[in-house]
Amino acid sequence: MPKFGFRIKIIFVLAILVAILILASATAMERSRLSFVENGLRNFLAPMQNGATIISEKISQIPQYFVGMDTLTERNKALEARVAELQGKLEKLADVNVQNTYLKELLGLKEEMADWKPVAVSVIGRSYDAWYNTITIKGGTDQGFKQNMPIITADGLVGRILSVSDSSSEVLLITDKESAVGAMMQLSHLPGVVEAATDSVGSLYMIHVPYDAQVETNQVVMTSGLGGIFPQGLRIGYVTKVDVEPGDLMLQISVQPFVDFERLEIVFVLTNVPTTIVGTALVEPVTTSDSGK
Amino acid sequence: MNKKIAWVILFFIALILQRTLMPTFAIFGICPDLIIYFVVFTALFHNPFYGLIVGAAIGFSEDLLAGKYIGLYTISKLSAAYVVAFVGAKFYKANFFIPTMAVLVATFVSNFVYLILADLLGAGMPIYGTVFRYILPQMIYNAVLAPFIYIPVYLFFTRKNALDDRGELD
Repeated sequence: MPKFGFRIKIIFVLAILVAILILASATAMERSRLSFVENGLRNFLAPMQNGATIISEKISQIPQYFVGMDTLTERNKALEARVAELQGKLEKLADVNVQNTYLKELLGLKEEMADWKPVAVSVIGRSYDAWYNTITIKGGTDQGFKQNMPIITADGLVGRILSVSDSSSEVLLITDKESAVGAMMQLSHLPGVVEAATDSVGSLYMIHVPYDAQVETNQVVMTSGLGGIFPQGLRIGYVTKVDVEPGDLMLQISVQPFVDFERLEIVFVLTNVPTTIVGTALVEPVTTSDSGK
Repeated sequence: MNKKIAWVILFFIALILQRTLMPTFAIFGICPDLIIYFVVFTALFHNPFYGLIVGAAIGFSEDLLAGKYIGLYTISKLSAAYVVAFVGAKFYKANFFIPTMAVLVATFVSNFVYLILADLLGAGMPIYGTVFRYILPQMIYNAVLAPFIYIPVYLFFTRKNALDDRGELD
């Protein structure tokens, strides 16, 4: 009898393990809707995460305060000089912008960024382990956010919304292993796919680029708009290394992202991006000499 | 009973801190895993069955937040709790070397089980790369911090167990 009882236990445990693996397999693909339990837990934690993030930022600023005091005066002087310089550039850019708007109207192009209706939201959490490279942002279905909406900062592309709950959304960063972004070289429009580097944290590779393509370091990589999720022209990063494996038909291009993923605080959700976009680039062409971050 | 509620509240605080404060302590992209301490210390200080149940519950909470491959954290944390509960039961818990080793082993078991299962389900994880670049550094990081977290937890549990023995809890 004891043996029979032991067997029952083993069968019971195995059945539970198999059931869990089936559940894991069923949830391996992205889901547009979260379950009631997931939604509830995220809604419960979101306000506390928001508060904890604010406190965490304050805590992380404490060492910077002491370290930064010595260089603060010097930095202030440099910044004042920079402001004066930028003020001059701004005036020039205002003229250029007027001219640019006129030319775009002539070409029948729209200011796509405005059409995409960016919504600024704060980052309230992040997953930082080997399995997931995601952040949690404030705002979900209550703000009209949906799965696959692109996320950007002023520096460039951050990722896309993976799942949405009532008051928060999970964002898949482009540095996640499951992320793949249709990309192209800014100047040559050479297409490829940008995905996470598996051998270093936070770096990217551009793949599917023929071995004879002309690619140099410091060239800017941007979205191609061909994946159907991200609009064309969002800056992704710049080329740091180009590798050609002997006998391989494709280049492996190392790309350093423009966005500092460890310092994300405010991001923009593009809430009105058509599923397939071929628009204009949002940034001016950058030459290889000054394309670095 | 109050201590159990306090433990649950502490767990939720740890869950929140893991996603907010801990990334600021990341070294070369690796940050300590607060959750594994809950699994290890619960498994060390309770009977193995209780440790397994709590380990599974902790893993399931992580699964719900992750939103993908639901169940893998459950199995991985359950495995870590199993190893710690059955091996740790043989050792004297006042020795601070034991929890450090337990955290080291649990971090490896938890991550390695997750890695293998995720790979089986088609996540395409590079096994050797993940072990050497992520799992081993995190084992060291977690183990270094373990004694500092263990001391207050040890005092918390030894007090609790004394009350348990007298039937003042539950």
